[in-house]
Amino acid sequence: MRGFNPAIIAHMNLDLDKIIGTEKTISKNAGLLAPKKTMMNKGQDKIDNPLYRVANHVKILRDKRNEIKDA
Amino acid sequence: MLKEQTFDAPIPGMSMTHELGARPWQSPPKYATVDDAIEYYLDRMSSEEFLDQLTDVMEMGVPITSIANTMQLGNVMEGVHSVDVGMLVLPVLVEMMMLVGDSAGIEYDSGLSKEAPMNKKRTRNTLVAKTARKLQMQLNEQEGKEDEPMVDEPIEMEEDVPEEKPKGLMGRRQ
Repeated sequence: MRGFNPAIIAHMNLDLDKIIGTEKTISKNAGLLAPKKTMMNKGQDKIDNPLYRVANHVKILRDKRNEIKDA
Repeated sequence: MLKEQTFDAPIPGMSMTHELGARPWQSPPKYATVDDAIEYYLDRMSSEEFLDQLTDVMEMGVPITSIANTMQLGNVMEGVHSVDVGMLVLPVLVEMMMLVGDSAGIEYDSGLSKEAPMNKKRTRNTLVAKTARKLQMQLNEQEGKEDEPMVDEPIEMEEDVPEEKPKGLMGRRQ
């Protein structure tokens, strides 16, 4: 029987799709009264979240691993 | 059903047996952010010596999650990073080790599946390769010693060198 290992839980709970999400294109509004910060830009604050940065690192490594597996 | 008892837990008050700040994990960590900690680990893990040892341990059947947890716990105890940074770094460590295992082409236990797939006995290719390399080096050393020709040091013959006669004005004349 394996003891408690936080690595298993941390790895299992890292849902990349949920954390990173899909990149949205930002449409430019030309008007003076156009809101500068839209709700879509809310995703820009993600980069300050350590979990988001970790997820990005994991995604890069996982993609590389999939490349090796496919080759 | 009886609950399994564990006796490896610290006894109450054990943390207060030393002066506050005397332990490495009680002082500020060396790497405070996740990015710094990841960089530190990636630097360490890219050395050839570490990779050799890691592939060997992985091929022995030690789960990757256990290796990752041990690594981060050790660094927390040494004051390299804090516990929460260690928890955040764990998935990166696991993924990195899996990448190392895949690129080395070895069979490993990720530790993520419930059943352990590494129970069957098999030969450890990394160990075989390491032993073969060592043996080859020993053979080369022995061959090098045997091939060396027994060279006798040449004995220098003293030749009769005629003494130069003093030529100067003050030179002694016989």
